[in-house]
Amino acid sequence: MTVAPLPEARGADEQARYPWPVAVEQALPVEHRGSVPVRRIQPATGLFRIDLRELWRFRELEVFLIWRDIKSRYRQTVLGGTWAILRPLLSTVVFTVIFGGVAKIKPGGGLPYALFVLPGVVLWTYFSSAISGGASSVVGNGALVTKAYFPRVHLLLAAVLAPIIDFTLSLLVVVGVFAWYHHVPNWHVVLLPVFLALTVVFVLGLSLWLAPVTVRYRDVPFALPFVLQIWMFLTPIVYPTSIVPARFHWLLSINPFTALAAGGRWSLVGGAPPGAAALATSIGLSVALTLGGLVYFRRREPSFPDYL
Amino acid sequence: MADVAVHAEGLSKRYVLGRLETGFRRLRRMAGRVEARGEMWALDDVSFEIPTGQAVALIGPNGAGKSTLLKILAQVVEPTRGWADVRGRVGALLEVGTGFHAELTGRENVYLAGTILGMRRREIAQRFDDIVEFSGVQKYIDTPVKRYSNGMYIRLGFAVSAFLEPEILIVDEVLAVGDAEFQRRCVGRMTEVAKDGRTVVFVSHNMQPVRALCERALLLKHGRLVDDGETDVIVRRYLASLDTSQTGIRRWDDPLDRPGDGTTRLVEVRVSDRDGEAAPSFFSTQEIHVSYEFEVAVPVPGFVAALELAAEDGSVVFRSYSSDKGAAIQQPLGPGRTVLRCVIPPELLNTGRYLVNVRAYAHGVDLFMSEQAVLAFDVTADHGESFFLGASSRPGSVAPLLDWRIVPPAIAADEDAKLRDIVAQ
Repeated sequence: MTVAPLPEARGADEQARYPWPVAVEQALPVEHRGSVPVRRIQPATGLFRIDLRELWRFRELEVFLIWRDIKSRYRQTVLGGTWAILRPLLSTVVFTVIFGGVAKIKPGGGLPYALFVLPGVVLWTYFSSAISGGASSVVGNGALVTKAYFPRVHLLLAAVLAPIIDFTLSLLVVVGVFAWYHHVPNWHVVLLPVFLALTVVFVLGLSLWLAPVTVRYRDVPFALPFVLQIWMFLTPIVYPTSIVPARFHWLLSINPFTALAAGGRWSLVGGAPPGAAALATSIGLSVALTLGGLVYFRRREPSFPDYL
Repeated sequence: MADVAVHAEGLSKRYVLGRLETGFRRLRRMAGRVEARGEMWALDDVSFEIPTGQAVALIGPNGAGKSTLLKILAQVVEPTRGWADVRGRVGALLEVGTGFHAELTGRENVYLAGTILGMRRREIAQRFDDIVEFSGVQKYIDTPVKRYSNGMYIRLGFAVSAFLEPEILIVDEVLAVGDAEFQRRCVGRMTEVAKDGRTVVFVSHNMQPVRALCERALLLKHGRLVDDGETDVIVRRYLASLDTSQTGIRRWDDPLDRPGDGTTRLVEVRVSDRDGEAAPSFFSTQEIHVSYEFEVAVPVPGFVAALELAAEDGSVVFRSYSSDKGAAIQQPLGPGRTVLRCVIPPELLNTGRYLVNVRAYAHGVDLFMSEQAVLAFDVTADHGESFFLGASSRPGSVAPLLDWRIVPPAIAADEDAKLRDIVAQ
């Protein structure tokens, strides 16, 4: 079989030539090459094996992995990226009809139910898709893990970071609903990225533990949706803390997502700010999970090819 | 030590056999209910040095640890014991199309796969045109690769890796895929890389590219390094040492030993004459029937088997696919036992010993097995008139009978003119 070579038609159209956003290209640093380095391959030892220099060396890969996730996610869908907007919108509508309309949950403070539920839903949508992606990030890339060398953490990082794009798109829903209810957020809104960042760290910490477990036990992707569903209803997202009987408040306070959901809501629509203690617990837990997770992930990393 | 590209010392890799242990089983084992699993050293205390710029082949039977060693050098698998120092960037080509994503276009995949293989975005951009030209898929470069034919996919996949320019290139059997023309280009490209002063570590079952490309060979058996030296010498010793039981039948009775993977395994290979009598030697005037018996666990769409006949030095005489004359056998096989049989016609082979290499594929999907020299048989040429049996030998693996005649010069010129006329029309 022969394919006739095309005449040299390329060169003029830079956009077609470089299939990534211009901003990304500018962000990438210039290659530098020194003398030929010697690398020692040996069984890893020690507890904390994070090689930051190696992670940095593969930074371009991280950019490409995120870009791949974003590009391939909505391929062959009719609605494409619209799904990023539709999912939180539909959830909000459903919750508003069922919990606001039928169950008549009153958020208090005269806040319409839709406004009350929206911030938590948006943040939770990010959380659940990032955690699902993070947990199966290594298993889902088995072909790469067994055939090419690069720090595997990049796979996980890409899976956790890519849904931020969806989150950003879903802020359009927030703007739309705010316009509908003539709600204007106050200065707290600048703290929304902080609560998003805390959520990202929390997801990262959880994924670092879940991904190696998923490599070993493929039960995780089956169990995770149920766990997430139950978890969501145990978190004050669709209902205010005020309707929870006091004897269950401990349950809310040990839930790291309670403070994140409350923070997201506070920054967008007001209401009670997250308690300092709850927030500290949440942050402490996220950091602990992430640091411990890095150690655990690196310990399990050599065994990945054996299970894939 | 500046001129040593790879220095390995006591490299070992242990695998645990059988099903991987779950937590529950481990509890039961600790409670003494279940026996501890066996372990296997895929690589056992292997040490060697490769000078910069040398092209080295790893050869040995299946399960000798060649791939494990490559994967350790490629840092995909971590050694259990021992270490290796590698000098410079390592480019590992363990598979064609590593990192390709079906939904992305050819162009996007070139960048993605290149980055995964360790290239900088800038380097890929510089070589992009060369990569596309080498692959020959210019027209389809903005089409998602899931719409590519198998051949296009392989060509683009190899092209990306071919322009990877590491100090050390590690290649595993990628030449087993693609058509002859493409394989030739692959070998050509790798020769260029080797001539460029780069270090090449190469694994292939096919001894021809090994001999063409590599000056030195390491022979592995059962995870150990057993021989090391000039390629021609090592290849000859290796082929001579292969078990070629002289019965005309090779059978694997233990299901675990059978070549192949979980879905398709080889049970028996036999060479026999017209009457079905298995034999280790034939006259060239006899038909030689080659039969494969496969055990198939699940139906395999597009199943293709291949007979590769090799001369004693490992060079391939020919390869024949079961699909060469159409798709008659390219249908779901199994489950159960299936026998495939083909006939090597008489008046073809020269006097000598021939090795049977067995290959089986799911077309375009999977290579189930590539077994070297499962069987050997001898041929004594007795066809044609001018053969003096056993007295003298002529070179070559085949001795076809061609038409010869004497043509007076005038008639020859006349015939040439007629031929030119035919060609001209």
